[in-house]
Order: sequence, then C-alpha cells, then structure tokens
Amino acid sequence: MQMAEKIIRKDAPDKVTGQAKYALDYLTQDTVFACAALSDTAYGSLRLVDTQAARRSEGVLTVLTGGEGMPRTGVLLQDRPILASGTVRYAGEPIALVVAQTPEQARRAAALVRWDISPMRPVMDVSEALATDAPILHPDAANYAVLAEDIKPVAGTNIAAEFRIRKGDPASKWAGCAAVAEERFFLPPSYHAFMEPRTAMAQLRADGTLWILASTQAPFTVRHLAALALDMDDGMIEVEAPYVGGGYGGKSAVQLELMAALAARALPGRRICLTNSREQDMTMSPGRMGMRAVIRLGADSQGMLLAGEMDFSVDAGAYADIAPNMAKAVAVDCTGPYALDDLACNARCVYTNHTYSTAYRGFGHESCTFCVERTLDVLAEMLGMDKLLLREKNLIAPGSTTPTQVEVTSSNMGDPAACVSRLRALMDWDAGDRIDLGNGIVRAKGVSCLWKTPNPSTDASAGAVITFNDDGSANLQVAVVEMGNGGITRLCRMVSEKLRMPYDRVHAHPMVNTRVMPKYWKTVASLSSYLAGRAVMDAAEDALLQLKQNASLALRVPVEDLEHGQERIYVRHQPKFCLGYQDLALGVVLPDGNAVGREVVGRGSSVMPHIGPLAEDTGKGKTGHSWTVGAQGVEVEWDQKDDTYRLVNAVTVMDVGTVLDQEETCAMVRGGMSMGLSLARSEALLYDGEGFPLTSSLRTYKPMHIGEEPHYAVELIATPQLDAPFGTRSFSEHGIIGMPAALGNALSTASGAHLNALPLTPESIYFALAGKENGQ
Amino acid sequence: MTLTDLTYYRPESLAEYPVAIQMAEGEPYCLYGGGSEILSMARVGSIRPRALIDIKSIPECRVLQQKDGQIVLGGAATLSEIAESGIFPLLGTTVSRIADHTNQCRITLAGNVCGTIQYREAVLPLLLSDATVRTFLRGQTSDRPLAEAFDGRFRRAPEELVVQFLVPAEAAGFPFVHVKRTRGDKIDYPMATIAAVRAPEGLRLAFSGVKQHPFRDAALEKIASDAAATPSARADAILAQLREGALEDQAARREYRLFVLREALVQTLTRLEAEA
Amino acid sequence: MILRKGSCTIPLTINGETREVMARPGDSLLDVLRRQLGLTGAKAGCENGDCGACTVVMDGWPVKSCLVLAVEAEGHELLTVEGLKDTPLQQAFLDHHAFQCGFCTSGFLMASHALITRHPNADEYQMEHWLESNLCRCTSYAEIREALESLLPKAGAAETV
Repeated sequence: MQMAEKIIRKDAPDKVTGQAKYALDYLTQDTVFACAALSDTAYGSLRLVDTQAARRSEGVLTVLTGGEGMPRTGVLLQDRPILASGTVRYAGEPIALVVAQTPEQARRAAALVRWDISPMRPVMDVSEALATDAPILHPDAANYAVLAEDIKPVAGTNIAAEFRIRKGDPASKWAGCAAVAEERFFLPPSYHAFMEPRTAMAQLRADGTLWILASTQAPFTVRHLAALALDMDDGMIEVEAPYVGGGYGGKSAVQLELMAALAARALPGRRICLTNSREQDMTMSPGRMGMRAVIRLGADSQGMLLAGEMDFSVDAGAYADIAPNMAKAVAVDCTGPYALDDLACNARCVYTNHTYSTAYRGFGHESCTFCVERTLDVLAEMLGMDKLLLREKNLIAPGSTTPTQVEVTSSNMGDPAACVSRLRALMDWDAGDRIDLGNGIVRAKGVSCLWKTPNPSTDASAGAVITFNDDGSANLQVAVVEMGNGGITRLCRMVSEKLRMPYDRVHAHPMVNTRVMPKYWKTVASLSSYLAGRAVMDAAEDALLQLKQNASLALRVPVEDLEHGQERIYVRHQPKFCLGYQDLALGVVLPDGNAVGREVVGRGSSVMPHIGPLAEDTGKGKTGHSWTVGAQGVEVEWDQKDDTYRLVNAVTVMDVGTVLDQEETCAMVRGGMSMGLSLARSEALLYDGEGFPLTSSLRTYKPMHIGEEPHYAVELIATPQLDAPFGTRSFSEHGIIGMPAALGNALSTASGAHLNALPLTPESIYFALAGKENGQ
Repeated sequence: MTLTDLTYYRPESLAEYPVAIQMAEGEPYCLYGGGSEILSMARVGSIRPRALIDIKSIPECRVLQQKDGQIVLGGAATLSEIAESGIFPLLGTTVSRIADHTNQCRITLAGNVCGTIQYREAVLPLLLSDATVRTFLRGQTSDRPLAEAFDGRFRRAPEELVVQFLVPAEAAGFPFVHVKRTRGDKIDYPMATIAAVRAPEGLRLAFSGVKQHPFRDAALEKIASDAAATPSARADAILAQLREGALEDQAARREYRLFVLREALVQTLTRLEAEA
Repeated sequence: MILRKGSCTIPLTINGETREVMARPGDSLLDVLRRQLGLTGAKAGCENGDCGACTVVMDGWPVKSCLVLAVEAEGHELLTVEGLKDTPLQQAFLDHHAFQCGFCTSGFLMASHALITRHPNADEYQMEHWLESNLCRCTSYAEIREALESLLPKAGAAETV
C-alpha cells in the first residue's frame, strides 16, 4: 500500500515565508533576559561565588547560584546540579544565572560574577578515567536518585553504568579461527550543530502554574524534571514546544528549561528568556558522546564469523544524562546485522571532565558501527576476501538471534540481504573497490551495514485525540514536536488515509502543549510513526466508530451495515443512504429538529510492547519493538600527494517498510547521510591541556557546506512491519549510522592505513600513513 | 550586540573625514569598513570602541576603475565587487577564497589588508604587483609603495585612511596561479595560501598562513625562478628556507603544514610554467 | 555627514516600505528587524557571520544582518524573506523538499534570491560559491541544489562520475 498523492508538509508554507516561529520568536515586550556565567575551569572545588558586582550592575533583577540547596537533575541518574555546586566538572558548566532587563545587561553582569575554584587536574579521556588511580569525579554516585532500575554506578570508579552481553562461548572459538582481527578505535566528542541554538522561556503565573516554552523535543520530560527539581506537581506545569530548529537528540536534553524555571520562581510573574549564544550552546549545553573501543572478530577460512569480543567505553563527559542508555543501546546492537552466536561485549558509560553529552542522531550506533565495520574490513583483508561478500555471508536471517537474544523475523527486521544486494549493484561494486586513476589520485569505495532498534523507556506511551469542525474537516492533537522530521505531516496522512478524507482537510497545530495534548513520551528514536502512529490510528478508528454510531441513529441501520468513503458514512447495500462527516461529526439533527448522537471525539493510545531491562549477566532482553536495517557505501577520490579527498558518491539502501512518501523519506535519509559524512570528515570538540574548549564557534567547528557533498543515491526496500501503521518502519535518523564507517573504510582502502579514529581529516591520514597507529 | 555608548559617524566625502576624526578624538574609535572583524571582536569584548567612522560613503574609497595605465582599487570596495568586476583577475580569485561569499559582499579591501586577523590574504596580489597605497592623513593625500607600508601588518597612523591601492595595469595582467590549502574545508583560514605571478624578470611568490603574517621574499623568488631546477627541487629548496618559521597551530601541525606546502609549491611552479 | 549617538529614529527602507525604527548605533540590523519590526524570518544562528541564518538582501547583495549595524542600513534598500511573495523560488523549495526544520530556510531563500536576480545565468560553480555562505544541518544540500537548478538554466545537473 502506498499513498500516491503528493502532498505539501503541514509546516511547509510557514517555513518558506519566514512565518514559522521558533522559541526565540516568541519574545514579548515584558520578557526579561537571563544569561549564565560559565566555568572556565574543567575540574575543581567551587569554594566561593561572589555575585555582588553582578547584582549592582545596571538592569539586573536577580542572580542565582548553586550551593547546597541546588536541586540535582538527570533523566536517568540525578547527578547534575542545575547550577554548579561544590564541584565544577567541566569548562562551560554554569555557575551563576543573571536575570536583567535586556540581554546586554544580563551578559555584562554575568561577566562580573567572580568565583574561587581550586583546580584539579581534569580527566579528559576515558582511559584516564578508567585508570586505577584516577580521581573519582562523582564520589557520591551511589547516593544519586535513579530513575531507571538498570542504571547502577560502579562504586569507587568513574563508571556511571555498565552492560554486558554474554552469548555462547567465544573464548573457545578463537583457536578455530582462520583469521582474527583486533582493532582499537577512538571517536572524540562532537556537537549537534543544529542551526537554532537552544532556548527556553519560563513564567510562574498568578495561579501558581509554571509555564515553559522551549526548543525541546521532549516537553513531557521537561515537565517531569521541572516538577522534580522545583518540587511541584506535574499538573501545575505547562510546557509548550513550537517549531524546533533541528533537534537530532540534542534538544531532548533538559537544561535551559530548568535554569529558566528557577529564575521564574525567583521572579514570580516575570517572563524569563534564556537563549544560548552559539558559544554557550557548544560549551555549556550537552553534545555528542565520545567513544573508545576494542573490537575483536574471528572467522573461519570461508569468512563465517565464529567469535566476537567487544569492549566499548562511552565517554559521557561530566554528567551522565542519557549516556547510560546509549551504552546499553551499543551493547544491544553491538554486532550490527550479523549472526554471531558466540559473543562477549562490555559497554560502559564513563565520566570525564568535558562538556557532558546527550542523545545524538543514531543513539550511539553511528559510533559502534564505525568500530565494528572497520574491523570487518580488516578481517576481510586478512582473509583475502571481498569486503561486501564477507558481510553478505554473515547477515542475520529470520530464526537467528540478536546480541540480546531476540529472534529476528521478516516483520521485526526487514530484509538485510536485499539491501546488500542492491547496494552491490548501485555502487557498481564488482568493478573494484580501489582504482588508481594516475597522477596520485585513487578512487576507492567503502561499505557498511547498519541496523538499529530503539531503546525507549519501558513505559513510553502515546495518546491522540481527533475532533471535527463544522465543515467536517478534522483536527489532530498529538504531541509530536515538529523539528524537521515531518512527524505531524505523516500522522495527518495516516488519518486522511484511515478516514478516507483529503489530507488538506486534516488539520494539526504546530505548537505542542502538555496541558492540551495527551502525553507522548518524546519525539526521539524515530518512533513517531510507530508509537504516536499507533495512537493516531487508534483515535481514527475510535472516531470512525463514533461517526458510524451517529449515522446509525440517523439512518436507522445497525453500525455493521455502514461503510465510509469520500467523507461520508453510507449504508453498504444502499450507498445513496449516507451522511457527510459535516452532518455527523458534531451530533446529528433529525428532520424533526431533535439532536441525537454525540460530538465525535476520537481517542487513541499506545504503549511499547513487551520491552524491558536486560538481564545483568547475559544481557538477554528486548529493548525495542523492531529493527531497521540497511546497507551503505561511500566512494571517494583520494589524492596521495597531499592526502586530501573528495566525496564522490554516497549510497544507502534501507528497508523502511511500507513507503508513505517516497521523496520525503529519501530526503530524510539523505539528511542523515549528510550529517554522518560531516561528522566523520571534520567534526570534533577539542580541548586544551587544561580541559578548556578550543572549538566553541562555527568558525572553528565546521559542518559541511554545499559543494562539499557527494552525489547521493537512496533506494528503499519495503518489507512491511506487521504491527506498525500501514506496515511502516522507523527510518528518520538511520541515514547517519553507517556513513562514518563507510567513509573510514573507503579511505582506509584508498590509503592502506588503518583509519580507526575520527575525524578523518587529511592530516589524520597523513599521520596514520607516517606510521603512528591511529586508534590509540 | 554588546556595543553600547557608541557614536556612529558616516562622512560622505573626503573633506568630511577629518571632521569625523576630530569629533571622535579622545575616545577609542575604529575606522569601519565591512565591520565583520570589528563587530565579532566587540561581541566577545576583545575591543571596546566608543566610536565608529563608517568610511564606505567616501566616493574615492569606492572607486574600481582602470585609468592611465593603472588599476585603481578603492579601499572600501567590497571583495565581491572586486571579484565581479574582473578588473584584476588574480585579486578577484584571491578574495573569492576569503571567508565566504556573503561575507565577501561586506569585507572591504582595506579592511582585509589592515585587519587584525593575521591572514590578510587580499594583500598577496597587491604585494606581487608592487602596488602603491594612497592614504589620507591630516587633510593630505599621499602615495607610498605598499612594500614600505606593509611588513606583515599595515603600518599607519590611527587616523590615516587607506583611500586606494594603485596597481600597474601591466602587473595585473601577469599570468598567475593561486593555491589555497586549508584543514579540509573550502571556507577556512589558510593552512597555506600561495599567490604567484610570472613577471618579466621571473616568478614572484607571496604567502599567507605559512608564517605568522603574509610575506613576499626575494630570496625565495630567486629559487622559484631558477628554470634549470625542476619544480620539485625548487619546492624542496624553498621549503628548506621556510621550515623553521612555519606555524604550528590548530589548522595543522608543522610537519603536515610543510608536507602540504611542498605539494602546493610544486603545483604552483608547474602551473606557472605551463602558463608561459 | 551622518552622526548617530544614543537612541535615534532611523528611517529604513524594507520590502519596499519605509519604516521608522528606534536604534542605538551598536544595535545590529538583525536585532532591529526581529525585535522592533517583528520580522522574525531572519534568525540568530551564531551572531558571528558563520552560519547565514540571518541573511537579508541589501541593495541586491546578500549580507549577514548580524554583522550589519542598523544605522548602516539607512539609505539602502533592504529585502527580507517577508518581502518574498509567492515567488518561483519559494515554490521550488517546496517542490524539491529543500528544507526540514526550516531554521536556515529564510537565509537560503535570501541568498538564492540575490543570486538569481543578479546572475540569472549562474553556473553550478557560482551557485555553490554563493550558497556556501549558508549552513544547513538537516538536509543533504542535494535538495537545495535541485531547487536552484530548476531556476538557473546554466546550473544543470552535474554528471555522476
């Protein structure tokens, strides 16, 4: 089933006319402005904060600081004081928050806040953090409140959480391997670089409710964490999320909202605005995690994988945020879409002293896929085997189990073999993966498979409501944030399809409001089509039943005899007996003037099915409802005279289940590919020897520009996922997952170096070739 | 925007310029062209001017023309105007690689040459063509060779206005090569920029990003012009001279910079010979 | 000579209309457009000239309004995204899915509009040169490229090598 009609996204007219409003566009005349003063020390004891000069500064209304009463927050582990207290743990950590009448006054006053920090030597790398004599950054970790039962910090270490996979007996299989590849990897932390810096507004209203408007993907999480932090009831907090200018997971973190909320409480009735400068967004607010890994894979002479041992350290930075779940997600999907029955994997979440990290597109998969897929290439080389063939031979198939021992089926995974087969053709792989073009130029291709299952909270749920207007058009209320993902558009399409009415007559409101809409877990994990979609379909089904019940009363036939089509309910065996939605949706008026029936209010909801924590010893368990699989490749032209390279082609074949909108889906996949290539070729957050950030602007941190991109090709495979609306599958984030690996493989093939670290700059290739091992 | 208590002057003629200077005297002021440097630095508090003198409305500063065998380049002509005019192709090519295009629509020629950021790539073609700089100081216009005024930085009195750069039309027509190497992205500060021309007496080379400041060096030009040696050999000899002074910074470690510079030199010398 | 000190009333010509704003010399054009005139299409993405989200058109040239002072704009013609009415350019962006979150879109539309107006025969190189000034993090640029190619006859699709 495919929806053929080409539609315009609900947000499109706003976005091409400048009328789309984002958080900072909601400034009112009475808004006052907050600005944070940030630590310039990466690690130390915060002894004294002097706000006197700041308080006396022109236009200042209040200055907030941390200290003993400062609430600690966190979405899994409540380890982070909203403003630094006792110990400063990263350069950029907010120490004080100034509120003033104008932004300039707030900035000026923030610069006047003074403090006394006794610096300690910061821990900037996971290997340092894991050393036996490492300073313990969170000595009190055992006493932190925990919001998820499987997050257990390891006492006396910098490990916030750890997970293990134990499947079969890999130790017994090494001896029988014809080849064993062992590679080490390093991925530095990086940054989401959304075009819209993070922004939050807050006001404590006269009725005691707290209002927050923010650039957030997770309004209900904001509500919950604000309730905990301010010791308020959830019901007394109202959160709004307008259009968001890019999220990619980074705006699912809750930080500015809580700072603005504290300021709102300190200044009741005042409307507070806190917005990040780009520099603050890159240093104070969370970025993407780093990683160190060691991957060991062994295969027989035919290339069948026999054993795997993997060790992943997720570099979470100063506070854990969602990183423990990312370590878990890495463990859950550690192998990639390959069958491996003898596997051991350790994945841990580690504290260090740089800006803390949060969710990022791919949820750790872009990182672990880089490590494993690079190792597969090395293994293929050792075996003298075609790199794509090695992958093809080992693809997981229905009947086999994943690392956490979930059995895969065609419905819950799709068709990885079809993806690889199509990739082979699209890349013209059989023409060779390395061709010397002369004059020092080398053309090379690299590939990677991808897969991902989500790791939502076990209680993740969605609700949806459908109401109607007098003209019979519908209104959809579902709390999916519009951040470019087109989620609301897709859900409106589902309603239009289900109720057999034009898409243009299904309306939705761009602003998400927790007071008005049913709770939706958060707009992350590419789950909207599934989780919110099931709730929406449920609501549509409910609305349809109510329309039919009204029609049954008016037409005096049983509900079972009624059908719907062309915005009418009609009697199946006598189609001319019908009533339009506009005459049914708000109750029915009979010829004698009596009103019967009811105003139609369609209600729907859904929860994630059968998911739970992993067994501590083996990792057995089910964390998500399905996998999305794909195969990706990159072709480069590398110039060995100066190690520069050009991206020529990038290809993705992905099984997205039923395709609702071919062009939109491909555009979303390409967007992920672009982010993955940009990440891999040039992105890293750098720190000096003292832990002070060196890349804190878009001048020094460089996402890709037009002209640097390859030619993109995307092909979609459509194996239906049977429990999803219309058989769709998650796909929104997945384009990123295999891109760093494919690029790393292409450049390693081109140069002969083992390129095991990001970013893949010409300089890094130079030094790798000069003999320095790249992943150390 | 953290510029407060600022006075903005916009002299609309050369005669009004000293009036603005006099009114601004006594307070820290900046001559204001494209503004990108001044506004970025003011935002982070590196500078705190109390007055800005916007020189973009002084007609002499906006000239772009060829006259009497000379190319006259107004100090307040924008980089994109220079590139689109085609009046000095090497300069047009060079300035098209400074920042990005939209910024080039604001950055002025004198602003880049006299700016604080050390790369000043727009000066390279001017050095190569033995340009003259015309300035206005205390009511008087005077000319001097750019090579005298520029030693890596442009040396001028605070109230001295750079009105124009004058370039012999013949020099602006020399065959040229421009090579810019960055850390990886097209838009970036240079790891090494080489501008080179084939003049009647030999090759001329000017560099930015290699050492602390842009420079031209007669000794290196002598090596570069030695037609008896291969481009590779000449590149190696030039590199030997540059090795010690080469920068080590966030853009590149020294060893890699020199590796890239060598290849850029070989390319420059090879292409310049092909131009002959 | 124009002299501005303290808060002044300044006439600005925007989208064909003359508007009076109150601005101090240090106020950026971006700030004045957004906060005084409610023209929030131009966005503050970095306030450092690196991202292009604040791009408007001044006398036909694209400029980053975060690095233009409002007082400078007096005497010049300004065009913002709100001044584009049902243009083929906007339709092309719709047709080719040339945006997702939309935050960079106003800036891209203004840079593109200036390009198409000034250089209707721009080739691929010139199109890239102009649009390199704007960052998009959501799309792959392929869509924006296609939108522009549909309006620039000489910037036709590149060959896949």
